[in-house]
Amino acid sequence: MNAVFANIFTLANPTRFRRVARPLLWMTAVTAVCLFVWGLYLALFASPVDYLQQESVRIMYVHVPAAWLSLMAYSSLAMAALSFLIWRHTLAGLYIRAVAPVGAAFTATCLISGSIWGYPTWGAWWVWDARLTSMLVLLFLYAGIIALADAFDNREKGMKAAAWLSLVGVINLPIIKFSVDWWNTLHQPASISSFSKIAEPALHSSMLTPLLVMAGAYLCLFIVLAIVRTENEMMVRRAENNRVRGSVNG
Amino acid sequence: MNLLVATLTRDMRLGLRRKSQIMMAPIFFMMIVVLFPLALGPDPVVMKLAAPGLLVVAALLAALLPLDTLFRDDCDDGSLDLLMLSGSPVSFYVFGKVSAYWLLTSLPLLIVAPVMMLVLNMPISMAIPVFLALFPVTWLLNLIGAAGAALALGTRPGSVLLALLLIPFYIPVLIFGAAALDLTRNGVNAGAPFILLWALLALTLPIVPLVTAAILRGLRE
Repeated sequence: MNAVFANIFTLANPTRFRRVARPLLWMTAVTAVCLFVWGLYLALFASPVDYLQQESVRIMYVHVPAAWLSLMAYSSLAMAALSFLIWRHTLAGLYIRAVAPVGAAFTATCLISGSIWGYPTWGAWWVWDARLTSMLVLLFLYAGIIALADAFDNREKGMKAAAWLSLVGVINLPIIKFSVDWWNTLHQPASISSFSKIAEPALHSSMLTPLLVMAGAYLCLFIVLAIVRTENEMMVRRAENNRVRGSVNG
Repeated sequence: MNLLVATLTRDMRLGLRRKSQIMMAPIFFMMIVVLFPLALGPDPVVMKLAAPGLLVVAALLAALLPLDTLFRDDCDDGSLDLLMLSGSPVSFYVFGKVSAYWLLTSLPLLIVAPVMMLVLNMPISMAIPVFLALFPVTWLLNLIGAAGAALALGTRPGSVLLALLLIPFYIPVLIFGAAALDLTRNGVNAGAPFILLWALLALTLPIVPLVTAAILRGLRE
């Protein structure tokens, strides 16, 4: 365990982070493009239509991975928040600033695509179902984190406050996950929930494969955005420090 | 424990000196309640449906509005820094603060709540359920609000930031509070939401002062 921590911590050094992140960035960017092309082809052309939902089932390939990634982004945010508050790695704080808007975008994608999917299948753009409501709360949480991180004159303070808020907001993740089991309302329970279900999937492989490919594509997209935006935050910070240093030196 | 009592008595004394401010929260609460019949129309059927949720929403907004100032005075005059330096348990200070705040802003609200309940066409027999629901609701709003106020301490005053931070965390309180009143009014067994409200209170009461204290400490350094 300590070895793992030691390895992660060496990455907390911004220069070392860049040295690792650069090649990783290109690899994931290329993978993302390939997976998107393949996944979208499978999702839009090669996969069968649903006997009940007809063509609208294809929204699933956009909707479900966005939902997964919005939760994953939040989990990573919370872990970064923890390491920022405990070990004070500035990089983790920058990661929070960088990733919160990405997570918010995935959440919004999930809500909007779900809404477009809901209209033909449920007959309404929006229902006050537990899953939908808790996802909406997730979007609000992201909005709160983004706003809080920018609300302080002191950037460090803003990152710290945002880290606290992301930690406290973790309470919403299990609520989202189990909302479909705890409240028996309109949104269907998870089809892909455990390894036993992967052995005997509730989803036929003709639909499962495009879904997983799209999920991989989303994941790569997320990594690309996270790296680019974190590097961007690093550069903004460096520029600000230089400006301060310049004004001090006259 | 001394710190709790000291904070409580000091804040009570400070609050009671500004008598007009004590009336602000309940009057604001009444005004919000009055807005809804004016907007939705005074139809008794609509009022019957809307009243339980409306009372809780009004309580939520009334609790939210003055929260901004909870730690601000202590922060501005430096007593918060002195408290941190003294090494006293900040969580007791937080709990004293929230208690005083509840007594000053939420207790008057609970007193006027039965009146507003009648304004919304609820039967008088609802007075006790309204109290039993709004009591934990206001405590929860204030406790969670304290953590939010600690987070937003040091930002520019008077922004909507605090509302943005807190409303996601207020949603469960709102749901269970409104459900408790709604089920009771319909004569259905409302045990579950009432129990959940009180259970939430039992959960947040010990945790939130600790979290708030940690946030205050973390952001003061």
